[in-house]
Amino acid sequence: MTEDMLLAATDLTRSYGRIRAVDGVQLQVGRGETLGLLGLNGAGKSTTLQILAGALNADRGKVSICGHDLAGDGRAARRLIGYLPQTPPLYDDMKVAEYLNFIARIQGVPRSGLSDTVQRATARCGLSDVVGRLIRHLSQGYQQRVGIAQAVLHEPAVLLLDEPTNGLDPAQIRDVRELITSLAPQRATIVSTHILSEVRMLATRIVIMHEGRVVHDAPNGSALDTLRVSFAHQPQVEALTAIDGVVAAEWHEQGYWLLRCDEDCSPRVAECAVRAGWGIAEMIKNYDALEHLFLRLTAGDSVVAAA
Amino acid sequence: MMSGFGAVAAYETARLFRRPFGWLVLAFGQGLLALYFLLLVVRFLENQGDLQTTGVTVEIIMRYFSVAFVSVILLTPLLTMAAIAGDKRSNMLRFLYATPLSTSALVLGKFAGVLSLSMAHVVLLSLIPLTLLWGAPIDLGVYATNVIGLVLFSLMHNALGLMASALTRAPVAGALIALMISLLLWFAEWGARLDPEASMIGRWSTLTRLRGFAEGLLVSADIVYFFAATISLLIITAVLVSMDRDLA
Repeated sequence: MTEDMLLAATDLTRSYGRIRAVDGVQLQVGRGETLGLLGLNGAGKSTTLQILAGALNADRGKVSICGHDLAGDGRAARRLIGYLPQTPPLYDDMKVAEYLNFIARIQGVPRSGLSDTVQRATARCGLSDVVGRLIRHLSQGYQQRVGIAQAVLHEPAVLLLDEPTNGLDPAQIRDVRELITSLAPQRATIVSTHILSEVRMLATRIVIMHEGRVVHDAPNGSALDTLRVSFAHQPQVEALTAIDGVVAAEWHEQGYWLLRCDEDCSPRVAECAVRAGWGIAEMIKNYDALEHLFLRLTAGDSVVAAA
Repeated sequence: MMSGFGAVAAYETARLFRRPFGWLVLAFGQGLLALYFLLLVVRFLENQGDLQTTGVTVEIIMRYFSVAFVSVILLTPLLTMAAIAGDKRSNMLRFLYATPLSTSALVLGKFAGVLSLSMAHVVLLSLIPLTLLWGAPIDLGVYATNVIGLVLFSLMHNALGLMASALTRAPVAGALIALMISLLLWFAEWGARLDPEASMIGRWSTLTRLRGFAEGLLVSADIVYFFAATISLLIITAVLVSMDRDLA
């Protein structure tokens, strides 16, 4: 494990009765990297995050946080983890400052630094105006912020966020995304979600899980070359697939072609269109590429893409 | 080693004192015991005519404490039921596993928290009979052993309540489990009386173990029994909490 590889998980396996929720998952996340963990509901994302956070024991496999084995050196490893479960872990009868103080003490923040630590986290998460309010009186958006504040309070090296924008309105979603982006550079971050646009915006690497397994693990935007193109004069599908690099061409009723390419084929498509006089009306690179990949992989067509 | 113990104990104490339920339980227990004490005094005065006679300790103090022991059996499960089950239900316990908080710090912190309100109950209960000092010759030795018995009995029942709370996600179920085990231990002596060959069961009965304290005797075996039971129940609670990490 290199110095900048902050989280490494090998062969994680976890079953619930006969159902295998997580099956041989391998993950590595380095400093400054934000891994977007995608999958359908029940794909094993939350179970994986629980195992990585130490909240649930795996049946098999190993998790290492900055070189500390989560099973053997659990307390040292957990000190380095900030974890936001799917439902924010809150004592709603506490005030925001009281709750963050409680978490800071549990995380082992020295008494002398408690006040500064809580102040820094509340300022960073936009909670300064509500520190004296009871958590149960806060809106869902603010409760989510408190959840994120407890996760980043002790400056963890590894940040695990399970559906951090769950149930938020668009303005709150934008704020939370900005917050995650601002926190990411010094840490290894994993964001679990089933919102594709969120992953596209936040992640440097995308992992797709399906039925407990990793079916795709590659940098954001790589190996996903697609081209959405509209023509004034529609060509035949054979003419499109004959272009060098175009693997498949699908016609969409909305009036565009979606070309799947094995590399960036936009210059050749443009050249061909000009020569044949099809008249390009629109050309967008990688349009819906992630959606197509996601749907293809989670429909059972398991293609493991190498990073 | 016990990092986080203070935070958990402080939260648990604040939770109990912050919510009206704890105060209601405390007030209900105090009210009933105070009323019972008053009835004992009135009946004694009707029979004897004067508190300045012998028999006050037996007729008032000992009878009063026998009911105080029962109040611990009935009220403690209401104070301990949500300590762990509530955290399980809200998934807070699973989150706490992801923090550096050790299982022992968590269990002992919860125990210290629930003890704070239980001990307030015990202290206030113990102060009521002291009002007799103004006009009656009470045996302070008997009084003291009853108070010690009450404290040890309460310690054990708080540990029992905590263990029952760790068995379930439903606080009410936790209270019922604790109550059933308490009553079984209390009435075990009766079972032993019915069947002389089952005398071993009688030795495990809390009723048997309290008799010495009630009569003014400090028997070391009884003290060890309550301490050992408390420690054992706390260890079982810690094991149950650790096992929960393996469960979904």
